[in-house]
Amino acid sequence: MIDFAVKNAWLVVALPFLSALIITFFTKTNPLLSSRISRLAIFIALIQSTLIGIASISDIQYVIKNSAGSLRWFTSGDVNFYISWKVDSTTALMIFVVTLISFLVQLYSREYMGEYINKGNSFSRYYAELSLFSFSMLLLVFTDNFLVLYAGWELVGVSSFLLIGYFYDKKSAAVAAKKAFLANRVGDFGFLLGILLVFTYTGTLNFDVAANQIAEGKLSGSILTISAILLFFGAIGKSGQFPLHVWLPDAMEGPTPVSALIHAATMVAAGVYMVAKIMTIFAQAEFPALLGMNALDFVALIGGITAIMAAFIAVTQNDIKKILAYSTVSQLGFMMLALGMYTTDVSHIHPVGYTAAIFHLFTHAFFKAMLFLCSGSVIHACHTQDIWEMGGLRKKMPITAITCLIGTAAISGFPLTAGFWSKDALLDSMIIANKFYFILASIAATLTAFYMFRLYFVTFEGEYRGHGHPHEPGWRMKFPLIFLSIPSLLIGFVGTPWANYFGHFITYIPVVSHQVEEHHHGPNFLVMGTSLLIFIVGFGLAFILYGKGNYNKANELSEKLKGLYKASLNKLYFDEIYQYFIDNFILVLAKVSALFDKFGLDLIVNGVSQFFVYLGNLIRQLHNGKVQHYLLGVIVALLLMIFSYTNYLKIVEYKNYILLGLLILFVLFIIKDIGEKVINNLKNKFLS
Amino acid sequence: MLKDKSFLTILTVFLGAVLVVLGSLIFSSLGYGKEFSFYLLSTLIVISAVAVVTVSNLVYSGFLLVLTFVLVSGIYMLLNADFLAAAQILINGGAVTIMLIFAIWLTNNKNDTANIPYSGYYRYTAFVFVGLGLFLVLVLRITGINFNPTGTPVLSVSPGIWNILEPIKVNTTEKIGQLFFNEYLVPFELASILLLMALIGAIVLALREYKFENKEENLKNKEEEKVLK
Amino acid sequence: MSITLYHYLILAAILFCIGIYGILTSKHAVRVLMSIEIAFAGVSINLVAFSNYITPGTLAGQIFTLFIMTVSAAEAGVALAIIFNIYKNFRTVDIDKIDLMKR
Repeated sequence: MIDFAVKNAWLVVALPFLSALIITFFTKTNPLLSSRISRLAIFIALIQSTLIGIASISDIQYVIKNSAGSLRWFTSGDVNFYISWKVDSTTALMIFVVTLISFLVQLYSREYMGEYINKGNSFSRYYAELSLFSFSMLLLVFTDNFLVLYAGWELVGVSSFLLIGYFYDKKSAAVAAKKAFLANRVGDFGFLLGILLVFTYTGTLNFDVAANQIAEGKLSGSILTISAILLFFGAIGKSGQFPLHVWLPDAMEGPTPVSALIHAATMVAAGVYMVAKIMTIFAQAEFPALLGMNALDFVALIGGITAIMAAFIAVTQNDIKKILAYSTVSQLGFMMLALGMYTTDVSHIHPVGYTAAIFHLFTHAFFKAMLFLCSGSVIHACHTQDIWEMGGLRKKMPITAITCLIGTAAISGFPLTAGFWSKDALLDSMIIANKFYFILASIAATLTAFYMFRLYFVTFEGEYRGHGHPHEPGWRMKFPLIFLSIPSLLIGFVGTPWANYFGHFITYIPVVSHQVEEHHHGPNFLVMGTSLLIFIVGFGLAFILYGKGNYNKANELSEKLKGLYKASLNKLYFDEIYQYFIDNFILVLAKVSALFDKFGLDLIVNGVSQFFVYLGNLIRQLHNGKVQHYLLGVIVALLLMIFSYTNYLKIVEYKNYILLGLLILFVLFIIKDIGEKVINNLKNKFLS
Repeated sequence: MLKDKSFLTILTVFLGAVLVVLGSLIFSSLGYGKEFSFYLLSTLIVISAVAVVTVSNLVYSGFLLVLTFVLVSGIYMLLNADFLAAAQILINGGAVTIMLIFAIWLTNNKNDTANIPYSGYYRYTAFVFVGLGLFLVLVLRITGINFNPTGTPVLSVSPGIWNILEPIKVNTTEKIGQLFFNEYLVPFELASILLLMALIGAIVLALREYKFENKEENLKNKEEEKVLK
Repeated sequence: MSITLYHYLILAAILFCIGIYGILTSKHAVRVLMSIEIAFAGVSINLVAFSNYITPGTLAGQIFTLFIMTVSAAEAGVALAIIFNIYKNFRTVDIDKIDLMKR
C-alpha cells in the first residue's frame, strides 16, 4: 500500500486535475455530483499523501529514490525540457498540508456555498476551480525543476484569479481579481528573469543540478546574487511581501473558504516554499551585490518590513477578513525573515532559520486556515464582515468561538500551542543571527497578539450589535473547525527544542558539505521568556482595551494617536501611492508608447501595406481601358522581344543597354502618365 | 470651316502636287528621271501622311489623305501596277475618303474633346517607340535580308547585295482579270461576300439604335393611349 | 543608282510607322481610321514592290493588294457605322472617353 503510494506519487497531482477536467467537460450541469467528484479525488489524494508522509518519516531516502519520475516535455536545440518530480521531505510535508486543507475546505464549502447549488453552473465551476487550484499547487510542490515550478506558479495564479473573481458580477471582486493577477505578474516577471539567468549560466533547470553547477562556479559573484534576488521577486509577488502585498487583502473578495485555502494556507506559502526549496542557491549568493546586501540579507529585509508593516496595519482594520489577511501577510513576513537568517562560517553561509520557517509555515497553515474558516462561519451567520456589527457571538456559536480562541491563542504564541513552538523557533534563529531582527520580530509578534485578541474580543465577547439571528452552522462546517483545532493545539510538539523531530525531518543540506556549527543546542530560555512576555503584553493590551465590551479606552487611545491610527487604518496609503504612481508615471509611459505604436509601428506596418496598395494602383493605371495605351504596350513588348531574341541587328554588345533604355522609357512614360492622372485626381478632389 | 482661306491654300497645294506627280510620271514613262520621280513622290507621300496625322483640323487631314492616296497611286504606277493605281484613286482616294469626310461631318460637335490633341509627352513617347524603335527595327530588318531572285528570302549577315531584277512591264488589267476569274476565283467571291457582309453589318449597326428608340416611343404612345381611354 | 526594292520597302516602312503613330496619338476616332488607311497604304506598297521585283509576271502581290483594298473598304464602312453608334450613345467620338473596357 505505502509502496504503491510512493511509487505512483504523481497520482496525487493527477487526481485533482482529472476531477477538474471531468467537472468541466461532463458533470458541469450536475452541481452535487461535481462536488462529490472533487471531494472524492482530493480525499484519495489526501490518503495517498498521508501514506507518502508516513513513508517519508520512516525512510526519506527510500521515498526520494522511488517517487522521482520525469516525462520529456519538449526539446529545443540540444536541451530537453522535462516534467520531472521528486518527493523529498519538504515536498512530502507540503503535499500533506495542501491535500488536507484542500479536503477540509472542500467539505466546508459544500455547506458554505450551499446557496449556489441551484444557481446554474456556478457551484460546479467553484469545485472545478478548487480542483484546478489543488492540481496547480501540488504540481508546484511536486516538481524539482524551475520550468514546471514556473508553470505551477502561474497556474496557481490563474486559479487564484478565477476564485477571487468567483462573484464576477460584483465589481469589487472583478477588480480585486485583476489586481491580484497584475501584482503577481510583476513578481513573476522577475521570477522568470531569474530562472532565465540561472538557465543561461548553468544550462539546467533542475534545482539540485543547478545548485551543484553554481557550487562549481558556473554562476557566481554579483550575477548569482542578482539571479537569486530576481527569483525572490516571484516569492514577493506570490507571498504578498512588502511592495506587492497590496493584492492579498483585496483578494478577500473571494469566497471565505477560498481565502482559507489559497490566501492563508497554501498558495501564499508557495513563495516561502520556493525560497526554502532553492535555499541551496540562495545560500551560495553571498556576494553583496545590492546596496551591500547579499540575497539572504535582502530576503530578511523584505520579510522584516512586511512582518512589522502588516501587523501595524492589521491593528486598526474593521473587516474580519482583512485583519486575517494582514495577519497572513505579517506571518509570511516572519517566515521570510527567518529564511533570511544565516550565520557565516568560513565563507559558508548556513541558514539557521530554514527549519524554523518551514515549521512555522506548517503550523501556520493549520491555525490560519482554521481562523479563516471560523470567520467564514461567522460571516455565514451574521451576513456581514464588519467586526463592529458582531459581538457576543460566543453564546450563540460556542464551537466557532472556542475554535477561534484556539486559533487566536496559537497565532499569538500562547504557551504549548503550535504557534508558540514555531514562533519560538523563529525567534531562536533570529537571536542567533541578528539581534536587530529579533527585536523587530518581537514587536511584530506583540502586535500580532494584540490585534488577534482584539478580533476575538470584539467578535465573540460583549454584546451582540448586529441584526439577524446568528446560529451554529451544520456538521460540514463544524467538522473542519474541530478537526483543525487539534493540530493547532498539538502539532507544535513535533518541534519542541527538547525533542526536535521536525528539525530532524527537515534540515538544510548544503551542496558542498562543510563543518556545520551545531545549532541544536537545546531550549533557549531567553527566547521562551521573550515570547511569553510578547503574549502577555499583546493579550493584556487587547484585554484592557477591548476585553470588557467597553471600547471607550480604545477610542480615546485612537484619538491620542490620531496620526498613527489614520496611517494604519488607511493601510499606510499604499493603494493611494500606487494609484498616484500608475496615474502619473505608468499611464504617461503607456501613452508615450501608444504614440510610438501609433506613429512608429503602425506607420511602418500600414506604410508597407499602403506602399503596395499604391504600387497596385500605379500598375492598375496600365489597365485604363484605353486601346491606344494597350497598343503602345504591344509595340513595346514586340520591340523588347525582337531585341532580346534576335541578334541580326549586330548590336549584340549594346543589346542589353537598348533593352534597358526601352524599358526605362516605357516606365517613365507610365509614371508620367499616371503622375498626371494622380495630380488631376487630387486637383478634382480638393478643388471640387 | 470650308470658307476658310487656308482651304484654298490646301487646294492649291493639292492641285500642284497632282500636276507634279503627273508630270513626273510622264517623264518616267519616257524613260527619264525615274529616280527623280520616286524621290519626289516619296517625299510628298511622307510629308502629306505626316500632315494627315498631325494637322489639327480634321477636314484638312481628310483632304490630305486623298492627296496621300493619289501620290501612292503614283508609286504604284512606278511599279508597273496601272490597274492598281486606278483602283487606288477610285476606291481609297475617292470612296473611302469621302465616307470618312462624311463621318467627320456627321459626328461634328464643337464641344467634343476629341479635337483637343493628346499631351505632348504622350506623343513624344509614342514617337520614340514607333518612329525610332519600330522604324529602326523595320529598316534594319529590311536591309539585313538578301532577297535573291529565286524568291526565297535568305538571312544574311551583311546588308544585301543589290542584285535585283529590273521591273518589267506587263499589261496588268487584262492579266488581273484573268487571274481573278481563274486562279483567285474563290478569294474573289469571298471578298464579294465580305463586302456584302460589311454592307449589311454597317446598315444594321447604324440603324439598330433608331429601332430601339422607335420601340420605346411606341410603348410610350401605347401607354398614353391607355391613359386617354 | 537605280531605284531598287529596298527603296520601296523603306518607303513602305515609313508609311507604316506614320500610320501606327497616328493610331496611337489620335484622339478622334475618324482620324484613327485615317491612320489605319495610311498603314494599309504602306503595306500595299510593300506587296506591290515585292510582286514587281521578286515574282515578276505572276502579279500575286497586286491581287493581294486589291484584296487589301476590299477589306479596308469594308472595314472602313463597318468602323464608321460603329463610330456613328458611339457618337449617338456618348455624344462624343473621343476614344479617350470611351473606356468601357475599364469597367
